[in-house]
Amino acid sequence: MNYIIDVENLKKVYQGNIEALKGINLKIKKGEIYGFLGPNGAGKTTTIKILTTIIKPTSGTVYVSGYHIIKEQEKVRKIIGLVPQDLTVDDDLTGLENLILQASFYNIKKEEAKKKALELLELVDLKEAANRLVSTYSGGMRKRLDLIVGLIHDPDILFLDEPTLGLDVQTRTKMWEYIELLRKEYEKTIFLTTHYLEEAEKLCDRIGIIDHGKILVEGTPDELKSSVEFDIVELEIDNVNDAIKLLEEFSPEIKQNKILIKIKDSEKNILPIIKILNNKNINIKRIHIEKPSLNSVFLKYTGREMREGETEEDILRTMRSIRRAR
Amino acid sequence: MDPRLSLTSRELKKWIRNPMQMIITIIQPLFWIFLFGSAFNITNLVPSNFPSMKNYILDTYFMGAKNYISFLTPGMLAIMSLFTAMFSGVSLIWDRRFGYLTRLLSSPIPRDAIIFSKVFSATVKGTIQSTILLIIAIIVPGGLYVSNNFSFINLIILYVTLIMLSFGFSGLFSLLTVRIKTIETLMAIVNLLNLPLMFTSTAMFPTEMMPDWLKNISSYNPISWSANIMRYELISGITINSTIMNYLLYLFIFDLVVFTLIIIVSRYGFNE
Repeated sequence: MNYIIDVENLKKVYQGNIEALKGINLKIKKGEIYGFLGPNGAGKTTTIKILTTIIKPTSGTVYVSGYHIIKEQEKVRKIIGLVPQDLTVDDDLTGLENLILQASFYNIKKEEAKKKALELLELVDLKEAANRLVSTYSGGMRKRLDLIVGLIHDPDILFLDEPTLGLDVQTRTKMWEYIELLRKEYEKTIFLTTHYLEEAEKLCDRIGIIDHGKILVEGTPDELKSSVEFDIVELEIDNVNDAIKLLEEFSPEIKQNKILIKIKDSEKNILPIIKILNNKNINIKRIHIEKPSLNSVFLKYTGREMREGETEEDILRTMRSIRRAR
Repeated sequence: MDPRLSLTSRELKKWIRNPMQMIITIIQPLFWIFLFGSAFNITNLVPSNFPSMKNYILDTYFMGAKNYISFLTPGMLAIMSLFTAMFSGVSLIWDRRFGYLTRLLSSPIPRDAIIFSKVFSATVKGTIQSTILLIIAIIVPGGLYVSNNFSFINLIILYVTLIMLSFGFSGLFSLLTVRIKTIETLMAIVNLLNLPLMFTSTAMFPTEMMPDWLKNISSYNPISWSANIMRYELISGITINSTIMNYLLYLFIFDLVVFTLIIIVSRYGFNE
């Protein structure tokens, strides 16, 4: 058993017969950044909660760092760090106090905790704000504090549940930098969940696409992308119906009044399409080629687009949790 | 530091940084003491043509209190401890809402630390607030008349009582919030319970004046036990007698039961 996280046929059924996980297998190596990519309700958070001993699995075996998740609960808890989805730092304490409080859960001596805390605060550029009450922090600062609170006891594995949910683009990019830094500086194994494609692609060594409680496909971002053979060509044309008939051999689809065609090696193979349309004097307004991306991977395995996964509701939820905390 | 203590100090820090909460908690019993307390002049119970009966009535019914405020104040100390205890569970509900509990549950702290931190902090809060209330009641002219025999031992027993009462009730209400997940439900329960607990106790009226059925109920109410002990200590000037011993014993048993429940429930009953 050389895997730091070893999950075999994990199932979780919630009250009311809701099947959140339908048999998941996971093998994660030490030092890896592994990402669970999937829409809301796919089972990502449930998996994290089981791996971090917060809830018990219905069936299946789970080992974290060689420890059995139920029989050796205490040992597991000592070597993992969790950054939950909600903002969980305490508002009425300062950043430093939050860190020292968390350290006390792991029997770390106060002086030692303080030293470590300042080091981590420095790492995420919060040193100046260390002695300010968290209620004066911005959303991005809270999230950064949240991240290092999970690291105070130097865990072997860090679990990040939607680390950038609801953050604006700039703050998100910054968070990515910090997460990469953590991995470089401390060589942690990181398990994260996300429904942002860019995030999974940028941070993760390996990605598992999860939907409806099942892992549909797993691999490095490049492996996943190369599993999609076709480029998607999108044509904007006035006379869609005529064009469709002409392009029948390419089996086109219509979506939002645009024509979608899947072809290999689109740079070359798009030329005959243009030629056909030109010959019939059909005016092409715009051509868009989408090379295989995680989005097309997602589309291939789940039959829907990932981008639809992110809803206003998620963003509102995080904003609410920030505001509520104030 | 033990997580039980560090989490308790977290609660207390939050409390000190928001003094409004403490001020409001103290104001309410002050209203009771000075508005209700002065509205009701117990010395008028004695017809003016029988002045010799005055001391007799005050001694038998009001445990030697010189005025109603003196009788009411120990009762209000107990009531305030009850109110503070009732809200000890609120912060557990917030912790659950904000996801702080998720963090706690994934860390290797003993589960009872989550409840004990609420209980300890509520006990400290209740005791400090009681001290302030007591000082105000003594300072205000025409307020609480403390017995001339009041000694250091009386003070110790008074505080032991306050601490035991706070511990028991805050433990009980914190246990409720292990399963109650919304503030609204907790508020409803608190509202439902606080009046009956208050009025079936001797916090405001002497046992001797109660109808028999109420007398019966009130003798099982920890608030009655505590209010009576504190009256003996503060206004009667008696340090210890068999009644005080019994009440202290009841309070101790009450605490012991709550303590055991906390250990059991936190081990098996905690979930997100």
